[in-house]
Amino acid sequence: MSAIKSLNPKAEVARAAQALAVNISAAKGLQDVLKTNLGPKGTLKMLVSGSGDIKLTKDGNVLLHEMQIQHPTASLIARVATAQDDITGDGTTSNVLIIGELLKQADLYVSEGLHPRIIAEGFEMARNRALQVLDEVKIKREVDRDTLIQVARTSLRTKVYNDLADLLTEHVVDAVLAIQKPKQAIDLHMVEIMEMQHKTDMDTTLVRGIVMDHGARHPDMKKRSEDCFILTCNVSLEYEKTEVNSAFYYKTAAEREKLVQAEREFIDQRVRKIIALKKKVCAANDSGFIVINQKGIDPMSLDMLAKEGIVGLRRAKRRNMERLSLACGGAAMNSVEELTPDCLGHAGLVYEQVLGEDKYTFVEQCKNPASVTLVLKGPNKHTLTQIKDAIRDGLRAVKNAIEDACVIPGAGAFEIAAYQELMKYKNEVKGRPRLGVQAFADALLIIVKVLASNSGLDPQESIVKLQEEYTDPSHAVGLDIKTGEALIPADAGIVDNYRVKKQLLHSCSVIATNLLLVDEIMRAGMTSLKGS
Amino acid sequence: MSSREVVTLQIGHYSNYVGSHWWNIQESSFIYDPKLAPVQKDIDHDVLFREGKNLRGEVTYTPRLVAFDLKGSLNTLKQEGSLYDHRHQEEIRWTGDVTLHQEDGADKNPYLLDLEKEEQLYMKDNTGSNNSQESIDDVEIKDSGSEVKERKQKSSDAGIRNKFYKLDDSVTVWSDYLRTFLHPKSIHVIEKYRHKNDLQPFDIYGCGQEVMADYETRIEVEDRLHFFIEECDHLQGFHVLLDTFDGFGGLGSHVLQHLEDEYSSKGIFTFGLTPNNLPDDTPQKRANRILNSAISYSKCWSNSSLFVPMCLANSLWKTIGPPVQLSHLQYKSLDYHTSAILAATLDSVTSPYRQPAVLHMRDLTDTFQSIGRKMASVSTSFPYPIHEDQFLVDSLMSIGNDLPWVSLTPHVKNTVNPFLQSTVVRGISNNIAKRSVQDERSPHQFRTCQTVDDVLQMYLRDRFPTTHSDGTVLRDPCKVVSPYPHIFDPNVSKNGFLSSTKRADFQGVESVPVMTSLQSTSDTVELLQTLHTEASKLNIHKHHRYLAAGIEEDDYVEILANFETLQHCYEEPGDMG
Ligand SMILES: Nc1ncnc2c1ncn2[C@@H]1O[C@H](COP(=O)(O)OP(=O)(O)O)[C@@H](O)[C@H]1O
Ligand SMILES: [Mg+2]
Repeated sequence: MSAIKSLNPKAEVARAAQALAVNISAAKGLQDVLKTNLGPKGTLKMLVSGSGDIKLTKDGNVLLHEMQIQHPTASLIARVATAQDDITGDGTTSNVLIIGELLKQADLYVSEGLHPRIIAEGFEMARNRALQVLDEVKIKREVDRDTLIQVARTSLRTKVYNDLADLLTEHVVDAVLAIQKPKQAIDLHMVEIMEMQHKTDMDTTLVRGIVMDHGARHPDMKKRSEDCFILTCNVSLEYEKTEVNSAFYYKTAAEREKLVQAEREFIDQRVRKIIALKKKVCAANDSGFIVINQKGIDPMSLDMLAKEGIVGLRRAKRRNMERLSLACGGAAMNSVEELTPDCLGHAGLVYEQVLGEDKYTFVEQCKNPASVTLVLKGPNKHTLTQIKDAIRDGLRAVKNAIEDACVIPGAGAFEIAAYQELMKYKNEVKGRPRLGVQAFADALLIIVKVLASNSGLDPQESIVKLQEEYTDPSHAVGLDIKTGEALIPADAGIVDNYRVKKQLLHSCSVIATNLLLVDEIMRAGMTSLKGS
Repeated sequence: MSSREVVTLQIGHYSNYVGSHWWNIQESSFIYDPKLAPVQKDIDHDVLFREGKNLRGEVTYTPRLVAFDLKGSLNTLKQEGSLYDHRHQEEIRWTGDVTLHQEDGADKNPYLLDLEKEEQLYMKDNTGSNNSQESIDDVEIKDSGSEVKERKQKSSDAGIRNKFYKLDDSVTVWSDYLRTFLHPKSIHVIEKYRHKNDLQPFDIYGCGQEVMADYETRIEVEDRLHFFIEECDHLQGFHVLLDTFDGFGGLGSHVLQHLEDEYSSKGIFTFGLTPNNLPDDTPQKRANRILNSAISYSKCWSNSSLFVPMCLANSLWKTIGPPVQLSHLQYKSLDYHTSAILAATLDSVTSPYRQPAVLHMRDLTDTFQSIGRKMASVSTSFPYPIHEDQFLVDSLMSIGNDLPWVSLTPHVKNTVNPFLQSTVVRGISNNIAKRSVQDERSPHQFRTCQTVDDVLQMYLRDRFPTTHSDGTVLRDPCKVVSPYPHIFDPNVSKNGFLSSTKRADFQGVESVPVMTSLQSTSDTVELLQTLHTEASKLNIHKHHRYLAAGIEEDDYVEILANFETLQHCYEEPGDMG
């Protein structure tokens, strides 16, 4: 108490009045930056750094990471919004817009003397009701491939241009369906994404199999093999210094040479064991034989392999070793002592592509196609990054839809439905908290308004139209951004993730309430000061 | 014989300072004209550099390097560099609006402006013949018979190398003086943390760990390393330059662990670097430095073949001690200066296995790490003080019982003879090794010596009778042309020899003789003990950010115990015979 007393009361009043204003202006600042991003007609931003590094993005999350946010409130909001992205993979822009709007709406009432705590109370009631509406607007339909296509397309079209989005859509859905295992969580890391810098972005493909960004290191090894045996192993096939004592003591070349000889013979034996196996299994056919080794293979070993028509890849990545044995069958060998034909996997086709100094090896037509690779092509790094980010979002959207076992109508349909239902609900709420409910409902409309204005439509007019068309949550209507008329999103194929909106409702109300109550704490201090 | 490659990792801003100087030093010694190249290579540059080809078919020569730094630390340098830029026409396809947000370009200093001019001249020379607009459309046809254009680093550039620049005030980040072109896969930017951001600083070990906890980041780092490693036919191992005093320690520990797991048979030679001018103005910052160093050091020696801490301050921990005194140098406590001294030292220390000879990095590291002594120290004599008309033997005799070098490993004071040392002398030609045999003034023990190598071996045996010494001699001196900072006394001549006439004001030093010694010594105990003592005083409980970042109290206790274990390795008498 004494600490507060010692403060100048006038300064304290000023600060309290400022608190909300400061928070609002920070939130508004963020809102202004991100507003133009929302939806499929949002602005694409090209960020060029001082040294000329380029980033192309439409993603709220990417932008938040790019901005040098200095204001603590803004940085708090940004953190909540990026947490939204970490948890659900989507909804960052909407999140920032709604938080900003909640604070603005709250301010209208607070400036008229309404206590922030009452607004917070109203927010909570509204949020709970909105969550019920969210359940009511769910599209009642099995989440089949078509639904997944819709959800992926809706997501991708907000990130890249339509033709590319449509090309990626099927790849993204099929990738997730390929790695999905019954009754197990979907592990999107199983979808490998490989970037190749190449003329056009319309060449992106889904490879059912494994693509490695390295190739055989011997000029005589075949660039293309069919009907291949695959030996995956983790065995050193390179000369290595194995003895521990040092050359400090025997720096003479002759002494050294002897040791090298012995070690060399040891490695050669290993290579000969592999060759023996190859001869055995390929005696009566022209099948290819590919060795994919996690350890090194030195030029002498490569030479021996090449002479026998074996293709050898070295230093395969650990994660690819696991994926290879899953896809091709066979067992990854830690030694060549007991090689048998059972150790071998199989792939219908193995071939190499070269781009400048980069080589790529494709292992396709595998026994078990559960392993997939999306091979992205783009003319430069920033385009590749933009596509990669979009694909990640698309993959998340598909995974979410499968795990939610439902989707919800997009194009502002949920927000309109929630608004309408909250207006009804408001009348049931007793006392002033209903003003908080009103504020919450109004804030949700920002999504529809911004979708409209980003599409060159009049926000007010659009909202009125949708409100007129609205009947009940199970027939939610959204905004046709081409015409400004109402549409049924499910029919138009514009669907969003359930969990994204759910997370959004939670985090927006929590953070807005916190920012409001920071203000309240200061007012409380002020009141008690006056009282004394 | 093909080269035995070494891949370099630079982890942290100061490490990049050191690395940038090191690449510059090496590049300054490139000889582009085959007619001028000596028959016997002194250093095989293919060990640390790779030859590649960009999408225009031009041959490139870039470091085998992965460098880590924070967002916003590159200034004027493009993350992907310009070598592989194929000047593709930008075409953005999007149905809505596209807006451009251009950050102001940082100003280039006079040195970078000159480099840029040189680059433009090069471009002009090379466009006419080859249609570079065609860019990458036809690269898939491999070996298409189109003539391969040479695009080595920089061609004859005596102009810039020997021009006098004053960059002390204008260097703010390492790229302000980096002249070597980097491969587009070399620079990894940590997007989550910004360079010099006080709101969210990258100041504790846990920050680096947190960065590496992200799957995508891990994959990206592993892929970058894989690119440089897979192509090596005879990989010897890795040079790891690591900032051990801040968040990079945590990042580096993770990377070291990865190297150890995936490339266990290779050498990992790690240098733990600390600048000598950290702001260090609050108890918290000092505590962070101690904690980060203690944890990082313990991870470094566990996951490296050999670990050497280096700093241009005499002592660290509680406070940062005064700058190391090096005779004939007048350096300032600027990162641009101190890192230059470390780089020149590293270039010599690592030379024994970068020569086209039989010594392997692991020969060196294995010898040192016997009986668990995985921590070593480095001493330098830079420039090695020898007068213009002096013989090597005489200069050594004039040093007498003093040491020719000064330790750059903090707290290691060289009070006793080391157990082991690998000494390198460079830039002293055989004709000034010693006086002619007839000359009475030659000390008797050097009478039979012919070459610098003979003199060095004899000196080491004589001066360090109980030490197991290895000596290496390089013919060429260390090149310190622009943009190396001007840190030499005026009595150091253009060629690096001590002279009675002063160098002209605007004349830089171009090369200097150097002597370095990598040592395993019981003096290391002092370093371990002081850090252990200071680290033990800190109650990890009170440093909640460490706990929050996942360092548990048990981990910390174990780390402190590791210090004691390692100390014992140096206290026992060596059985090196
Ligand atoms: N074709 C469409 N027509 C109208 N609205 C759409 C369409 N596609 C997506 N939307 C809406 O755009 C919003 C998502 O935009 P987006 O730019 O991805 O922002 P966020 O970061 O919030 O996900 C959702 O409300 C979604 O329903
Ligand atoms: Mg979205």
